Amino acid sequence: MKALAARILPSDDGTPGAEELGVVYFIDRALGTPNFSTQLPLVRTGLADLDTSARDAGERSGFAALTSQRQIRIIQRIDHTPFFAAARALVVIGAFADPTYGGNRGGAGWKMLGIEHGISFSAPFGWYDANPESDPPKRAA
Amino acid sequence: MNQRTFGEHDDVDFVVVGSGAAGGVLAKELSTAGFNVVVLEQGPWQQSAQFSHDELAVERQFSMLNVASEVQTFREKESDPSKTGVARGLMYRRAIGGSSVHFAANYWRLRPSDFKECSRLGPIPGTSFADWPITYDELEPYYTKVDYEIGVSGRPGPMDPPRSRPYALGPMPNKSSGVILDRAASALGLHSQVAPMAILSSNYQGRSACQACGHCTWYGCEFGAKSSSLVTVIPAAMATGRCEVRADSTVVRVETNATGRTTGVVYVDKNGLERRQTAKAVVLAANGAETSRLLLMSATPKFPHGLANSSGVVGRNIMFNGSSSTTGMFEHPLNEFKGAVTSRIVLDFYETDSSRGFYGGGGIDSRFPYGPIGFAVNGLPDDIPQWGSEYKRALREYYAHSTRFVSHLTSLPLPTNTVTLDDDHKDRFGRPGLRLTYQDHPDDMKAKQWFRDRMEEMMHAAGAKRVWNQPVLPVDGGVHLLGTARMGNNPRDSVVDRYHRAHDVPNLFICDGSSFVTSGRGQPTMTIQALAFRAADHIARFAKTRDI
Repeated sequence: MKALAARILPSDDGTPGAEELGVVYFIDRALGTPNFSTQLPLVRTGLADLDTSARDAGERSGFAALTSQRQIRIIQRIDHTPFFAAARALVVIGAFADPTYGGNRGGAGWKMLGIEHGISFSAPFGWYDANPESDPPKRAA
Repeated sequence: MNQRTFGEHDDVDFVVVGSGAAGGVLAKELSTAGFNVVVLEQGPWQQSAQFSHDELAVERQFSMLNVASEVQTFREKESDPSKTGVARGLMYRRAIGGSSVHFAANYWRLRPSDFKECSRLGPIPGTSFADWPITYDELEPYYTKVDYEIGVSGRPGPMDPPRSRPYALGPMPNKSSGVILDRAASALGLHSQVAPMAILSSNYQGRSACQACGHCTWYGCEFGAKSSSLVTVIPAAMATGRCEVRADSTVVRVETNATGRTTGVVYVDKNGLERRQTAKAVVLAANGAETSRLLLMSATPKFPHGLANSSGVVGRNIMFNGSSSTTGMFEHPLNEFKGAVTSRIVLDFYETDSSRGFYGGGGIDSRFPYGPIGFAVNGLPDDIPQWGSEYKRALREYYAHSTRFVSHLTSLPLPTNTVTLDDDHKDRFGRPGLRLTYQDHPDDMKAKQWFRDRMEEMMHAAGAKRVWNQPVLPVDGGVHLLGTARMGNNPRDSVVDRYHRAHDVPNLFICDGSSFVTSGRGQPTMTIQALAFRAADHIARFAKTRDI
């Protein structure tokens, strides 16, 4: 799961990915709660299938041991399956849900999206309301 | 708060079913007028301090308080099988304050033309399109009352209906999404104006001003700055010493006697026990879905098709307000995670224009309806990879830089669009499930498409780097539940008269979204509350002159 999560939200751009955000800790906990536990069989089967695909490709230790390029090629073949949709949703929720659920460490997922975390803000909120008189850029015809 | 309590057979003047936008107003006004009132609410008390910014919990809580806990089915037409598990369904909050707790707080008034549209445009075949039995002028004092009683913020704009007083509070700050809409309007010769909001732009009547935390829709306000019934009319009703607000009390039947008058209601309390509350009169304000279910469930040999349903129109003509949208990504950050839902609206296309080739019109606002989880799950354009490096780069690039133009449109009343009882799917109280039968009128679909095309032009005119449309979809439910017990002068084609009294039952009053004759252009809550203030005035007058 950790390897799959790292391909869904990688860390290769210098900002935190699934790994740094602790997404798997969220997923571990979530799958034990009534809201997500119904997905457990789907996730287990799907992960086992990833390992099978890895072994078919000659990697006896399974999916996690493959290079990221080879992992990506395997995921590309399954990224329209119900398993992948469930896994992706879990990764995304783990990255951006409240840190008390175990992922989104230190709110770093929010920060990555450009969200300032606070319970109170004051105007101006963004660039445009700070610069209301600026002209919109001319668009090419 | 300590409150007066009443026993089953105590001298109660009114039992009000529902504590939301309408029920809260009716409870406050009737108790203030000197009457003893019991409010029955099927959901729990939640206090402002219990609300949070937790996106995951709010998603769960909403499904807990609403659709998931409710047995609902859907079909497009009567001949289709009923399906469970629809995406939207009839959406409302079961809690003190009702859906006003989590609404976005857009507080548009209807216009004079909304009340007399059928006279002006002529009837539309196959629909129940009709004039309202009241005029804008009759309702205007009550719109103004809403402004001041609960606290509405705004500034009059060029497309507004006439108003007798300025807004109670000045406008909310303009957001970047509002400046984007301003730019679009100015480039295309349209008019953007301040969005009226039931949120406090400054401290008002002991409540705190909005803190711009950015969590309005689906969230309760921890600061009490959103002018929901929970923090306005409900506490005011309780403070009269004549109103008891009873939570966790699910009404299952309105009782009537041999003379055809109501004697009170039967409800299930939080321990699952069936109880009765007698009263001199009953006021239903349970929303357009629950009010019609309750009437249909209260059939007796004297009222074989449901209470107050000699016309056969209870549950018919449900309207949700159509909507369509387009999204734009901009060069600089907008930071739509701050502030109220929207700050500017464009009402240039409000009226029906026969040259467009369909009935209908609406307004447009600018908003970004995503928390981070929702956006990451399905907010990006379809042509961007949904996982991997490109996906992550797009999340970072788009989230704080995007806004959406959303249209808020008419829905035509169709007698075939109904809320009915589904005896095959009972809820935990043994009540028949709610079955929605709904299919958009072709003009409603055309309006959605026409508005999306305009909004796409507007998004380009505003200078978006990237514009992507959301598909124009048929309605399968929604949060505006309108028209199912419509007002009218003729008992043969309406459920309540112009004072919200049931034509068939002299001491039964019905006032909520179900009272609407036409849909308006989205944002119905302001009108629901104005109707409730007006209804309360008349109901109190009838009670004082023993005309109930």
